[in-house]
Amino acid sequence: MNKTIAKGIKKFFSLNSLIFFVLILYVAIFWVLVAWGVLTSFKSYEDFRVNIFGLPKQWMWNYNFIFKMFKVKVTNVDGSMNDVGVFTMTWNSVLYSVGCSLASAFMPMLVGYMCARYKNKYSKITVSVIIVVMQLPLMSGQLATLKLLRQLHIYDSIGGMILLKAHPISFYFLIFLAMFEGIPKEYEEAAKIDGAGNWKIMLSIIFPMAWSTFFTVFTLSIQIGHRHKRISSFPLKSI
Amino acid sequence: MIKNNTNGKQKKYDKGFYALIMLFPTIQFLIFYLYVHVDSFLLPFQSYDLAGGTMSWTGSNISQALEILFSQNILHGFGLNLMSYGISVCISMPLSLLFSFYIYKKNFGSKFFRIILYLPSIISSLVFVIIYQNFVERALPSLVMSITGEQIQGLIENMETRIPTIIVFGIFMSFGSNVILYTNAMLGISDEMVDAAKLDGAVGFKEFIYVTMPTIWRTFSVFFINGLMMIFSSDLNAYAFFGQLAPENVQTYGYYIFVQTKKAVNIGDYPVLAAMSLMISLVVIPLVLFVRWALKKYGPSEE
Amino acid sequence: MKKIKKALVLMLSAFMAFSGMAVGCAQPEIPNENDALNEEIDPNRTQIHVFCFDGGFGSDWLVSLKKKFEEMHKNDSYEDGKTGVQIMINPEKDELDVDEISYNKNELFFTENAYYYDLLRANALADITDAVTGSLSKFGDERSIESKLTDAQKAYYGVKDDNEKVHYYGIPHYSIFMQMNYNVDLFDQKGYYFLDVPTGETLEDRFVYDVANDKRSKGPDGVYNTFDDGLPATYEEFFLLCDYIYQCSDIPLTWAGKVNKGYLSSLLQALAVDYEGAEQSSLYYNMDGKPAKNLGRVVNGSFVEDETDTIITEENGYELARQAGKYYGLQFIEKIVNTEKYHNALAFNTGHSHMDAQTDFLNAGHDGVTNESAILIDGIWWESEATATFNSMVKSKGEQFSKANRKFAYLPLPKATASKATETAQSNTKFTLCDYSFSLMYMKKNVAEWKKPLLMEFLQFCNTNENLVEFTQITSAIKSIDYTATEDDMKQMSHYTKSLFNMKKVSDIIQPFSTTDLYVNNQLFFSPLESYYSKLPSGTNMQYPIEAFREKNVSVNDYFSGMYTYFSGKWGSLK
Repeated sequence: MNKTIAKGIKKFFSLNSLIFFVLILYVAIFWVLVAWGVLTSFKSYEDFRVNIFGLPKQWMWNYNFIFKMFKVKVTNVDGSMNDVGVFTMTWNSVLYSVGCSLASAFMPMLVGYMCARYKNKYSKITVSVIIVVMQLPLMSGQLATLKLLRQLHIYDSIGGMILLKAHPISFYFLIFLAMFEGIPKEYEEAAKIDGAGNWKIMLSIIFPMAWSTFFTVFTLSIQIGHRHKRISSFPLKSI
Repeated sequence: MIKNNTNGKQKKYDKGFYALIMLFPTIQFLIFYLYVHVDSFLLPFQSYDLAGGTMSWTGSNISQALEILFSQNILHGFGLNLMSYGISVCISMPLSLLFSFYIYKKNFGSKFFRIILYLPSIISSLVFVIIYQNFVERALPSLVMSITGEQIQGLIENMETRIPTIIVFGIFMSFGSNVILYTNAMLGISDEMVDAAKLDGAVGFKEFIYVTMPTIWRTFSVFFINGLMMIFSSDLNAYAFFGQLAPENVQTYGYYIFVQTKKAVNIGDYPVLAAMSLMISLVVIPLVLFVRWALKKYGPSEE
Repeated sequence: MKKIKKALVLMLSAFMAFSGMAVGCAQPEIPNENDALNEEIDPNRTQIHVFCFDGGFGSDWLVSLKKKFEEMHKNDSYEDGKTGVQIMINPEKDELDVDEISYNKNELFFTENAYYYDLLRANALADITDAVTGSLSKFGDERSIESKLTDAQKAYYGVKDDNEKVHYYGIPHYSIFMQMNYNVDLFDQKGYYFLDVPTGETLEDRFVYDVANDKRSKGPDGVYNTFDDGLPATYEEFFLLCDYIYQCSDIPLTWAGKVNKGYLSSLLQALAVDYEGAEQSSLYYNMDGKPAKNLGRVVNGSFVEDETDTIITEENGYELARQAGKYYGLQFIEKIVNTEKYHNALAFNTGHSHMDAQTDFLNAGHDGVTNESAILIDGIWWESEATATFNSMVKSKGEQFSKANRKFAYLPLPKATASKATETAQSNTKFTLCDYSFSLMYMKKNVAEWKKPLLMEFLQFCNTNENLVEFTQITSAIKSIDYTATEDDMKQMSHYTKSLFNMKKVSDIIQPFSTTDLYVNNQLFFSPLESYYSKLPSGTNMQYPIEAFREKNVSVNDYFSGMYTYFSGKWGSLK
């Protein structure tokens, strides 16, 4: 009996149990906040003022209001105005998120691969430059970028935004760099023996190994792009 | 790694391949970064006489920036940045690792927890700030009032609970992407290694320390270094909570520079701010490079 | 397959639950959209594209002007093959970057936070001198726009060329002030007016009993039988009023917790400007060698004015940190911040927005839970911004709660001391207001030459007396230039708007900007919210006195002395 109790206590205080309890606490706090937020979304403002924590006195369908009011006026090229509503915004968001996220994920992966697998002076310089540049302050770049986009005639276009995002200067470059540096060189050597060229090694052997990381980075990029309060709105004035 | 190749033709081919691949990112960087941000690099040394329409070169922005950085209230922000990083290293990072380990071991509810931990990253941060802020400021005092009859201040309104409340929010929101990436890295650990470690008695916490951590050390280093890079630009979510009106005791370096930039009326206001950011970068860049070297040299390896 | 089925069932259940709730719940009122904002381009008419900053005042006023102007020109041709004019209104809540203007499709701009000289330097503005100086008689107004500008406005907006000829590139749009706004219905109901002669020694004996017949005090303007009779004339009276309101179980002051520092700092600026008057307040921006009359220091715990005036130049402008108006204003703010019974419970709660404060103020005493609220500290835009709340109250409680039927008014600021009140009584100008909107009307430089006369005509049309009055009637806001309203015009304004109009008649209005090099090179430094920095005894620089008083227990004397230390230290680094 004592052995059973001791075993039980040991299991209770085991690492997994402790982590479980912390996770339960996290989930509880999260759900209380979300539940309260959802409940409040069914109240009128006057109700919320005097009844912050209780159930709504009168259940209000505020979502209709949100969907109807969820639009912006956009000036078209000819100067006319039109409302851009939820569906157009959703479609633009998808285009923007997927396109820019693909660019934001693929370019660091590509450059990370080249710097990790081709150890030359240029790679070393590239890694150092990226780390340094990630730290440098950028105060006035927005106006200059706007000017450049206009000069290149890619202002106010999704393609222009994707081009803008297709750079390796991000924290994900370091993730891919670390990942590719960790892959043993034997894979390439074996592939070369079988007659594979650089393209085949990169696309068919190494990149598939990075697929899950790429997918994770791609998902995170979409999530970050979606959460931005102002998604670099200045080059996408009418979209 | 493809380094030494006795075949001259292969070397030429490799160089050509390298140049072709690196061409686009290099051009993109030169045009969309270097060309566009040349001003940003030179800005700390410029002074604008807007009335006369002239620009002159000066070193006074640097001394002004140093004066501001070491002034009493901004120095407090420095301490706050360090404290925030310390909490991230001592609480957020270990918790992220432990949560990831729990999920990686496919323990009870791991799939459910994986989704829940990621949800705060999906929900718009603005929405979450609004919910959290209204909850701690309006709902909690209302709840306490209805239970005890006592009127208390909101947790952010109350000076004593303000910083802990904001830090708790930061910890809460920090898990999403970290857990995903750590779990991914852990899934790369071979089962044979784990079984072998089990035979040697490494289970539970021992497995975490001696098997899991060394294997995911590279990924962990990246997060550690990223946190270090952001150490002084972090604003503790103060802008999300307070806009431009954050109380002095929650203002970090990052917040101060961000708000001053937002308040700037014209380009004449930027040089001192750019100089401040440059001074901070001059400290952080060598620190990051050193820590990266140290982690690589002295950190555990898979072997 | 099983997982997909499970997911589909869950999604369907959620959708059905959602739909059920949508049908079962009450629906909030959705504001009607103005169709005029969604017009298609009419290829048979000439278009004018107009940008309108869509902040608290909306764009309904511009829609009204659009309809009238289009009707006026429906038979006129400005382009081959086209007859008539179509005004395309672009309401936006975001302000424009200076560099964006020339690329922007819009041709005319009605905006806020526009720094005139920055726009001039960027070569973004067209010369509209002809519109400003030209007669408006074709619209039935005998005056020109220029004649409606004050001397200070002419000096600021008028730019002299090499031949000393004055050119205008923009004109002011509307004014905004941060003020105290009181509930007239409550004041009338509870008798929150001072008697001319108290009937006894107690607090109640100082206030009217019979609101209609008891003789009220002169009020802040020092004159009987004016709009401010019975209102507190001095800071001392104001706090007595707050004590009385609290004693009657009402809430004296309400303001938004989330923006308490910004709003109360703006109120502090308003108090200081009102004390100092237009000339002395403008010294801080002009620094043109005129004497500063009310400077002083804290000596043995009290404010002592300098014996002699100080000539203010660009070298010693920091001396203005010692203005008496600032000292007394700080005292006022410190008292309302640190006296809990004077303000609402959520006055420092970051979850309490400006809209929340407006709703609390309007609903107070009518929701069955809260006591009535006497005074709201907010900008003059508050009534326009609270339109949805008014409409909601009408829907739930009846027509008597509409904007037209409820009475609110602008509370004239009391004077710091009795001697200042006496001085005001003898002066023609009773009050001084600080307009910090930086609002501007302008035409961008790169419009087609043939179109400029038409655009300038529209600018002129917007500034006829009739249309200026209509702007006020629709938005409850005040235009920055001079205009008059008849009794009939006033009948169409809410009680609050009428009070603003009356205030404007008896006030000087200063705008916190100038053309000096020092100002132009350091605009952020001179902005009103940056003007109350102080170096505290602990060595910290504090921007907001409210935070210093409330969280750091700093005294008014220390804060005021610290202001001089801060500004004198910073002055040398100005460009």
